[in-house]
Amino acid sequence: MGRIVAVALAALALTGCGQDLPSATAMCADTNALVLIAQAVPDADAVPCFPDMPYGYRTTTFDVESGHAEIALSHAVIGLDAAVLSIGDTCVLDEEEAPVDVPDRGRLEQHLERTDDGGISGWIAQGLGDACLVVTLDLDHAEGHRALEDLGGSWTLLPREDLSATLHEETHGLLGLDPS
Amino acid sequence: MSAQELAGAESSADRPSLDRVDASATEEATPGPLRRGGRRRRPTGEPPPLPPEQWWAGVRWALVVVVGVTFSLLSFVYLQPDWVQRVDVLAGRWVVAQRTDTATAVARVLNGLTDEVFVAVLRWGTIAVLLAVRRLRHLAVFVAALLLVEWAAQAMNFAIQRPRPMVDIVAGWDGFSHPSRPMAALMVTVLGSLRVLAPHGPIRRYGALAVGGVAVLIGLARVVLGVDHVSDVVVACAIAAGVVFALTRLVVPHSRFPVEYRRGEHAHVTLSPRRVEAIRTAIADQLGLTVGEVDLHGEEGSAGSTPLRLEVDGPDGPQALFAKLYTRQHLRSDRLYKLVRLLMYGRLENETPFASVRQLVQYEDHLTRVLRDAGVAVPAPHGIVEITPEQEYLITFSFTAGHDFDVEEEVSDELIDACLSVVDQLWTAGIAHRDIKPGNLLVDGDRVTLIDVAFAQLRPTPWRQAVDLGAMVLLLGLAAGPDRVYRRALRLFEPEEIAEALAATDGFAIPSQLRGLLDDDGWAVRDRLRELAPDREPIRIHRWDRRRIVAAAVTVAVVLAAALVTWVAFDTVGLL
Repeated sequence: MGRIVAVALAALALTGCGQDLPSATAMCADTNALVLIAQAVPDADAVPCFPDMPYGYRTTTFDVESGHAEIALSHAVIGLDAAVLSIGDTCVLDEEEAPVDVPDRGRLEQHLERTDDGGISGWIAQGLGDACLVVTLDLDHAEGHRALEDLGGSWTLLPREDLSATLHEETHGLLGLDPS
Repeated sequence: MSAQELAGAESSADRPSLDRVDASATEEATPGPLRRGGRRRRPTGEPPPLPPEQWWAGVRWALVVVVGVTFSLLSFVYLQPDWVQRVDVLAGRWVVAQRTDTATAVARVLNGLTDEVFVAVLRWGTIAVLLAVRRLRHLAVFVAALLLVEWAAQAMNFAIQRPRPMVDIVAGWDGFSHPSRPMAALMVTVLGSLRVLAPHGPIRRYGALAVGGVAVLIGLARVVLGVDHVSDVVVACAIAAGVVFALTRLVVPHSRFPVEYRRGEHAHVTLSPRRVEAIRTAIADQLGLTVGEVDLHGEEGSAGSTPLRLEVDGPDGPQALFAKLYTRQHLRSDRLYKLVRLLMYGRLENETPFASVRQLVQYEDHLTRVLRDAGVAVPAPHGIVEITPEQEYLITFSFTAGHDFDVEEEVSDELIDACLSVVDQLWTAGIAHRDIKPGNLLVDGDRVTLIDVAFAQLRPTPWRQAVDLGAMVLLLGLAAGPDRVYRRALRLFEPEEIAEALAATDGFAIPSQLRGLLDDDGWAVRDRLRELAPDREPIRIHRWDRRRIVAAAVTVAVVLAAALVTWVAFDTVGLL
C-alpha cells in the first residue's frame, strides 16, 4: 500500500512538473532552439529571435515541428498568449481566416485594431524568402499599445547563413545548418 | 505423529502431542544439524526457504535510467566531449548515405509504428484489459511508467535542446531530438504492456527479446529517415526499458503479484515449483515433517488465504495436512475488507487491521488454540511455518474429515444441537467467530467442526456474539425448519437471547454465502423465527463514530485525489 501511495504521489508530482517544463526561449543566443526552427521551416531565409526579451514578456510555449514553429509569449500584465510568433511556409493567421498573401521579402504587413478597452489586436506578417512569419497579437488590455511598442522594437531576424556559421563555429566545424 | 492426531478434529481433552517432539528429545545427543523427525534450526546468515524479492534487481534497472540520463547531460550539456557528438553524427550520416528508395519506404512503414494514434490505441488496449481483469496495481504501475518516461523525455528535450540531425530529413518530426520521444513512448508502451499483461515465463521472456528486436529496427528506420541521431534512439530505449523494469520489479514483482488469467479468487498466490519446494523445505526444517504432494484445496471458497492440502509422511504411510498460506496479498485483502466493514457499519465493525503477515498467522494460531481450550471442535493446529520472513507464512492443521454444511441434506437433532453448542461454547469462551456460514461448518455424521477462525474475535461486542447465534439459527432453520430449530435452541439459549440474535441479523451483518441462501428462501425462515421469539426491534447497525467519520472523509479524499491524478496523468501521456 505504501508503495502504491508513493507511486501515486510521484505521479502527481511529476505531472505537476510536466505541465510547466523549462522551455526554449527563442533568444538570439539560443543557437540550438533557432537551429530547430530553421530545420522546421527550411524555406525561411531568416529566423526571428529576441536579442533581449522585451520588458514584461516571457516565453511560455516553444512548439516546433517539421513545417511549422510557434512561440507563444505571455505578458506580465496582459496575460497568457499575448503574442504568438508563428513561422511556416504560408502566412495563415488561423483556420478561421483566409490565408494572407506572402509578403515580399523584407516587406512588413500590419493589420492592427484598437479594442474597446484600449488594447490592440491583429497581426503582423513578415516575408522570410519563401516562408512567412506571422505575429498574432491579443493585447486586449488598456496597456496593449505599450506592450506592442515593447514587443515591436525587440525582435529581429537572424539570417540563415549567420545562424549556420554560428553553428559551424560552436561545433568546431562538425555541423552546418543545411546539408550539402 | 500418530494417525489419530492427523485424522481430524480434537477436543481439549484429547490434544495431540507430536511424536517428533519426543523423537527430538531422544536424539538430542546425535551430532549434526538435521535431526530425523525433528526440527533443524536455520543457522544465522542462511537464506530463508523462499528468500524475499531481491530489491536490487529493480534498482539495477533504475540505474540504467540514471546512467542514460547522466550520459546525455554530460555529453550534450556539461562536458560536451567532441568525440561523442562526432561518433553520433558520423554514424547517422553513414546510415543516411546508405538510403535507397526501398530502404526509405520500409523505414517509413516502420516509423509509422511510432505514430501517436497507434501508441494511444496500444495504451488504451492495455488499460482496458487491466481493468477487465481487475489488476489495478499493475494498471497504476503501467500509467506511472508512461508518465515517468514522458516526463523524463520531455524534461531532457528542453534541458539538452538538441536539434535534429543535419541531414536531409525525409519524415515528420516534433520538437528537439534527444532523447527520441516517439521511441521512448512506443517502447514504454510495448514493454509496459508486456510486463503487466503477459504471464511470467517464455511469453514474457521471448516477448522482451522480440520488443528489443523491433526497437532496433524502428530506431534504425528513424536514423535512416534522418529524424533521430543514433544516441537519441539508444537513450530513449534505455530510459523506457529502465523505468518499466524497475517499476514492475519493485512494485509488482512476479512472486507476489503474478500475472495470471484464471477464474476464481485473485487473492490466491501461485503454487510455482519454487514456492512448493520452499514449502517442503520449511516444513521439514521447522516441523520435522516430510512433505510429498502440495495441492490447492477448496480455494474457490476461500479468499482470505490460499488453502492447501499437504501430503506428509506419517508412521502409517502418507497422510494429509491442511494448511493455509498467508502472504502480504492476503494481508492487504484483510485490510481492505476491514476498511469496507468500518465504512459500512461504523462503530459496530471498527477494528484495527493486522500490521504484518506474521501477526495475522499468529492470531489465527492463537485463536485456534484458545477455541480448542474452550472445548470448541476445531481442526488441531500443528504450528506456523515461515516461508519468507514477515512476508509469507503457512499455518498447518490436521486434515478434518467431513463436508461443508448442506441445507439440502437431512439434519438430525444431534447435529442441530452440536451446531448450537458451538455458539454456546463461543459465548462461554467470550469469542465471536463472525463468519458462521455453510462453508465454515464441516459436517461428519452428527459431528460438526468449526473452521476458519482467522476472523474471530476475543471479547467481542455483544452484538457480534448475537450475530453468530442469529446466523447459526438461520442456517439450521433453512435445513431443518424454523420451528424445530427454535425448539432445540431453547434448550441452550433464553428466548430473549434468540430474539436479540434475530434482531441483529440485518442483511449485511451475516456472511454473504448464508445471505444468498436466505435470499433464495425469501427470508421466510427469519420471519417465522421472529414470530416464534419474543418481540424485539431490529438492531440498528449503521452507527457513526469519530473513526468512521475520519475513515469516510479520508476515503473520499483519496478517491478524489486518485481521480485527479488519473485524469492529469492520462492527459499528460496523451490519452485524453
